[in-house]
Amino acid sequence: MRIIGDLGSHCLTSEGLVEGPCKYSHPTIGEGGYGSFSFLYGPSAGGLLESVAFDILTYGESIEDVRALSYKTRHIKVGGLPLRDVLFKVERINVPFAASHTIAFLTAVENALGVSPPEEVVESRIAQLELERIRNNLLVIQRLAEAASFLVPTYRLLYYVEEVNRAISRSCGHRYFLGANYLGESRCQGLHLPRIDVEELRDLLSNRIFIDRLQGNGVVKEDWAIGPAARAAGFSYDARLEVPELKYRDHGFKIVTESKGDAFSRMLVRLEEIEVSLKILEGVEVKPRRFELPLREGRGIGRVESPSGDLAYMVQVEQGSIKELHLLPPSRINILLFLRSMPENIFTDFPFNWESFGIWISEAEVSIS
Amino acid sequence: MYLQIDKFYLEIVTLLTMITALALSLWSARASHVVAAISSSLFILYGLYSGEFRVFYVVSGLVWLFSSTFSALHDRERWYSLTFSGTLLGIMITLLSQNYLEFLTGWELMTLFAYASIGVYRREWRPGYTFLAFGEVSTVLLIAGFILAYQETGTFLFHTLTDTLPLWFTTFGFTVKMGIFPFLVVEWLPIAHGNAKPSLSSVLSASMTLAGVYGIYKMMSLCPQTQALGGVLILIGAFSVLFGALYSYVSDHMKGMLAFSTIENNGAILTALGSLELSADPVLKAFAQFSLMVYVVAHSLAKTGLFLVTGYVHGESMSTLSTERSFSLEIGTTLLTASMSGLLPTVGGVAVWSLLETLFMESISVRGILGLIPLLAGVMVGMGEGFATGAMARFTSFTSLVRPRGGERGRLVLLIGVLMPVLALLSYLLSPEMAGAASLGMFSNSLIPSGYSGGSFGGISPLYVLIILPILSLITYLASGRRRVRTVDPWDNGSGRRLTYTSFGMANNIRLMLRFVLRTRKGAVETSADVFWRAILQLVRGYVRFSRAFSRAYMNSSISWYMIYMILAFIVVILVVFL
Amino acid sequence: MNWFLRGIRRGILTEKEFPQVQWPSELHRSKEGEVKCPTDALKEDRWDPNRCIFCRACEPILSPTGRSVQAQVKRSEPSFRRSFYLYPIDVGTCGGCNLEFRLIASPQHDMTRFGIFLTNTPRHADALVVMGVMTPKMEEVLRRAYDAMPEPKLVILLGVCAVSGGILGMPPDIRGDVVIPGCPPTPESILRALVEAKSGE
Ligand code: SF4
Ligand code: SF4
Repeated sequence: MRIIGDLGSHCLTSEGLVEGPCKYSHPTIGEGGYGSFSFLYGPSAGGLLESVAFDILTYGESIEDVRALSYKTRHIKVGGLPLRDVLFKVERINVPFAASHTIAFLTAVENALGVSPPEEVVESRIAQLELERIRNNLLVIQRLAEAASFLVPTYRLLYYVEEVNRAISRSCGHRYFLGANYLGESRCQGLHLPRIDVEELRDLLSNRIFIDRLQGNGVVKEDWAIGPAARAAGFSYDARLEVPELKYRDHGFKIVTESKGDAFSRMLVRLEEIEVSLKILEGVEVKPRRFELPLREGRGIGRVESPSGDLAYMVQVEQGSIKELHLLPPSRINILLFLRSMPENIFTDFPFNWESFGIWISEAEVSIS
Repeated sequence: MYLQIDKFYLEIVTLLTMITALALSLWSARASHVVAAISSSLFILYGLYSGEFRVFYVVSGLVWLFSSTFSALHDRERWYSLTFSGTLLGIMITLLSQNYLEFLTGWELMTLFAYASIGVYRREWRPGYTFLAFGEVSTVLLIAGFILAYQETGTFLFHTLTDTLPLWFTTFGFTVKMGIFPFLVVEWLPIAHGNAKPSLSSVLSASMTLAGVYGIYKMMSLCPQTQALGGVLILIGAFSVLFGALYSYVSDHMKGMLAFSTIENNGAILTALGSLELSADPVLKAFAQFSLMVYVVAHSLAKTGLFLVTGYVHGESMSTLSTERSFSLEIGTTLLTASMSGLLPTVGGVAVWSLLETLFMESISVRGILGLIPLLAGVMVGMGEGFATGAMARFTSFTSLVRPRGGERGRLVLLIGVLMPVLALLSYLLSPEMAGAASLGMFSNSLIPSGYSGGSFGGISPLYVLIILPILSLITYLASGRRRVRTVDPWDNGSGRRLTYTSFGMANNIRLMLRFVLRTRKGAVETSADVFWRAILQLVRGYVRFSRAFSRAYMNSSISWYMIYMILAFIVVILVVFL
Repeated sequence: MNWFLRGIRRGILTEKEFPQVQWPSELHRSKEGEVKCPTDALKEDRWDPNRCIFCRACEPILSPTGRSVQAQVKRSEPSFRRSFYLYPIDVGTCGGCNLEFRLIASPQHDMTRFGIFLTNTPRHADALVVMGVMTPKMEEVLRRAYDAMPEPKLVILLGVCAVSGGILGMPPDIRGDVVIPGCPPTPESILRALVEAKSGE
C-alpha cells in the first residue's frame, strides 16, 4: 500500500480510502542564524510560467528553507450545479492537464452512477491521456533546457509541443481536449500521431553542462512521492498499473524507473515515457461514441495517471447535480516534494529543480466549494 | 626655491611641535590634535626636501595629517590625544633616526603608546597584550639584527654592511610588526575587535606598517643583495595578498575586513620589496622600486581614508550596521575603494599594474628555479586582487551607496578620495621612464612603460584614462541625454516587499564554494574559521598566555610599572643618543 | 548529432499559413434551436466571442467555421512597429493561456519575425499581457506591474477569463486596449492581434 494524497477529509491510498489526513513525516525546517535573510522570488517573475512566490531563507546563494506563497488561488463554486456545468469548470481547472482532469472526473461520476463506459470510450481516453503526457513531458524538458539557456533544444522542443497540440486538435477538435469528453460521450475522431524524433531528444543527454545542473539536484526519496518523481526515485508507482477502469495492461504498458531521485532522473523518466506513450498510441483506435448515463445517486472516485502523477476526483452525485466534489491534484504533492528537496542547494539549482517536477500552480491552488 | 630652509631646524621644529602636542593633550584634546596636525604638515614639508626616503616621509605625514584632523573634529578624550600623539611621535623619531638606537627608541615609543591606546579605549587589556607580546618579539629580532650590525661596523650609525644576516633578522622583526602572515594577529586583533578608534586604526594600519616597510627598505639599502631573501619575501607577501583578500572578502565585520585588506596590502608591499631584492637587472630594479613606492602611496592613503569612513558608521557588522550616505561619503568611498581594488584611473590601479608587471617581468628574466617564484606570486596576487575588488565593492555598497541619504558629512573622506586619481597622475613623478605611444590618440610621453633588460613589456597611461573616461561619459551623456529619464520603483516581482540583499549574502558564494578551505559554519559571525585561522587562533592564545605570564613576572602584574619602566628607558636612551 | 547541426538540417520551419483549428474558431449558426449557453454568450441570436468559452454545448446549432477568432484592437501604437516587448502577467489562469502564449515563440509561429519579444520586467515592457480571472492577491501585483511600465503602454487581455471572466469568475479590473477571446486563444489569433496592435501589416 502506498499513500497517494489527501482527498477531501480522507487519505487516498493505492488500496482505497482510509481515514485521513495522510500521515507525512515532518519536514526539517531550516533555521536562520547571523547573516541569513529571506529572499522572495515571485509572485510575478520572468522565469516563472505562472504566478507564485517563494520565500527563500538564505545566507546568500544558499537555500536553507523554502516556503511557497500562493497568489493566484481561484475559488470555483460547484456545489449544487448540474453535472454539465461542473464538467466545464473541471476542464478549466488546469487546461494543460485537461484530459486527465476530465477523465478522472467523468470516471468518478460513472463510478458513482454505477456504469462502465464502452470499450471505444476507454480507448479514446487512453489515447488522450498519452497524448497529453507526451505534450507535458516535452514541455517539462523544454522548460529545463530553457532554464539552462540551451536555446536550440529549447526551440526544437517548443516545435514538438506545438506539433503535439496540432495532432490533438486534429484528433479531438481542441488543442487541449476541451469539449472532447462529455457526459456519456467521447468526441475524438481518429488518432493523429505527432512525429517526434526521440533520438534527437536523447541528444540532450550528451551535454555535460546541461546534465550537471540536474544531477544531484533536488533529490527525492520520500515513499509517498507520486508520478515521475516517484519513478525517478525507484518506486514503481503508476496509476496506469493500479486503476482497473483504464485497461493499460492490454496495451503493452511498461513502467519506467530510475534510481537516483534527482532532477536528472526525473527528466530521464519523462524522456523514456514519451517513447512508451508513443508505443501505446500505436495500438489504439479512436472513434466517437455515446453511451447512456442513468439518473441515479451515488458516490465515486476516479483516478488517472496525469503527466505528473496520480490525479483523483471524488464526487457525490444527486439528481444530475454535484453534491460534493473533492480533488487531489498531483501538483499539490509535487510542491511538497519540491519544497523538501530544495534546502542545501543553491539559487542556481532552483529553476532546474522546480521545472523538473512539472507542477501547475493552477490546479495546486484551486479551491473548490 | 629662494628661501633656503635649513633642514636641521625644520626637523627640530617638527619634533618639538609633536612633543608640544603630546604635552597639550594633558590640557585639551582638541588643541593637541590641532598641533599634531600642524606638526604633520611640517613633516610633509620636511619630507619634500629629503632625498631617497621622500615618499615615506610625505606619505606618513599625510596619513597623520588626515587622521589628526579627523580626531580634531571628532575625538574629545584627553587620554586618547595623549596616546595618539605619542604614537605619532614614536613613528616620527623612527623615520628621522640617524642610528640604530634612535630607531629603537622611536620603535618602542610607538609600540608603547599604541598599546596604551588600544588598551585604554575599551578598558580591555587583552588585545593590547597580544599587540605588546608581538611588539616585543619584533623588538628582540630588531635588537639582534642591530647588534650584529654593530659588531661588524663598530658604530650605531647606519653604515654600509657586508653581511646579510642583520637584514634577515631585522626584516623578520619588521614583518612581525607589519602583521604579515603568520603574525597577522598583531594588527588584525585590536582593529577587528574594535579596540581602536578610527584615527588610530588608520595610523596602525597605514603608518605603523609603513615604518616597518621603511625599516626593511633602509636595511636593504645598507646590506648586500640577497636573492634568497627576495624570493622568501615575494612568497610570503603573495600568500598574504591572497589570504588577506580572501578573508577580507568573506569577513562581515566592517573593520575586520579592512584589517584583512591591510594584510593583503602589506603583503603586496612585501612582494614589491622582495622583487626589488630579487632582481639584479638595473632597469627592472628601477621599475620594482617604482611599484614599491606607488604601492606605499596608494595603500597608506586609501586605507587611512577607509578607516575614517568607519567613523561615520554605527555598528560593526556589515549586515546590521546603520549609517547614512552623503555626497562626500559616496564619492570619497567609491574612489578609495576603486583605488584599493586596483582600478584605473586611481593610484591603486597603477600600483597593482606595476606590481604584476614587475613579477611577470622577473619571472622571465630571473634565471632558473628562482624565476618560478615571481610567476607563482603573480598568480596569487592576481587572484587576491580579484577578491579585493569584491570585498571593496561590498564595503562601498554597505557603508554608503545603499544607505538612506543623510546630512552632508565626510568631506575629509572626499578629499582623500579625490587624491586617488590625483596621485595616479603624480605617479609619473616616480616613474623611472616615460614614453609615448602613437596609437589611440595617446599624448606624447604620457605612458609609463615597464621594461626589462633588452625588451619592453607593457605600459600604462593614467593620464590618458583620466582624460578619456570623462570625455566618453560626456559623449554618451550628450548623445542619449537626460531627456528620456523616467523614474519608477524597482520591480520587486510585484510583491511590494522591496527586495533586499545583505552584505553577508553578497560574499556567501565564496564561502560556499570554498567551504572545505574556509570551514564555513552556518550562522557564524566569524565564518572565517578555516584551517589556517584555527592555527592562528591557537597561536594567539599561546601568545596571550605567554604575554600574561611575561607581564606578571616582568612587570610585577602592573601595567603602570611597565609603563614607568618604558618611559625611564626612553629618557635614558634619549640622553645616551644626544650626549 | 549536435543540436545545432540537426537544427540547420531541418531547414526553416516557420509558417505563413497555420493549420485550421475548429475549437476555438468563429462560430456561426447552422441550425435553428434553443441553446442553453453556460455563459450567456448567445443573446438575441447574437454570438458574443468575448463571453464564449467554446464548450461545445451549443453544437450542432452553432458550429465552428475554422476561421481564427477575431481579436478586437481598440488602440494600436505605431512606435512599437519595430520592436514590441511584452510582459505577461497571470492573475488567475488555468495554465492554458500561459502555454498558448508561450507557443507564439515556437518555430512554427516565430513571434520574433514580427519584432515581438518577451521581457522579464514590466519596466522594459511596451505591453502588459493579462491572463486569467481576477484573484484577490494578484490585484495588487497587477497594479504594480502596470505602474512600473513606461509610457506609452498597451494592455492586452488574453483569453476569455481575462476578457469577461468566462465560466470561472470575474475579469480583472483593467481596461484592455487589445482583447483576444478564446479559451485558450490559439497562437495564431494571439499573433494576429499582437501584430495589429503594433500597427504592423
Ligand atoms: S460554445 Fe459554449 S459558451 Fe460558446 S456559445 Fe456555445 S454554448 Fe455558449
Ligand atoms: S481563458 Fe480558458 S485557457 Fe485561458 S485561463 Fe481561462 S480557462 Fe484557462
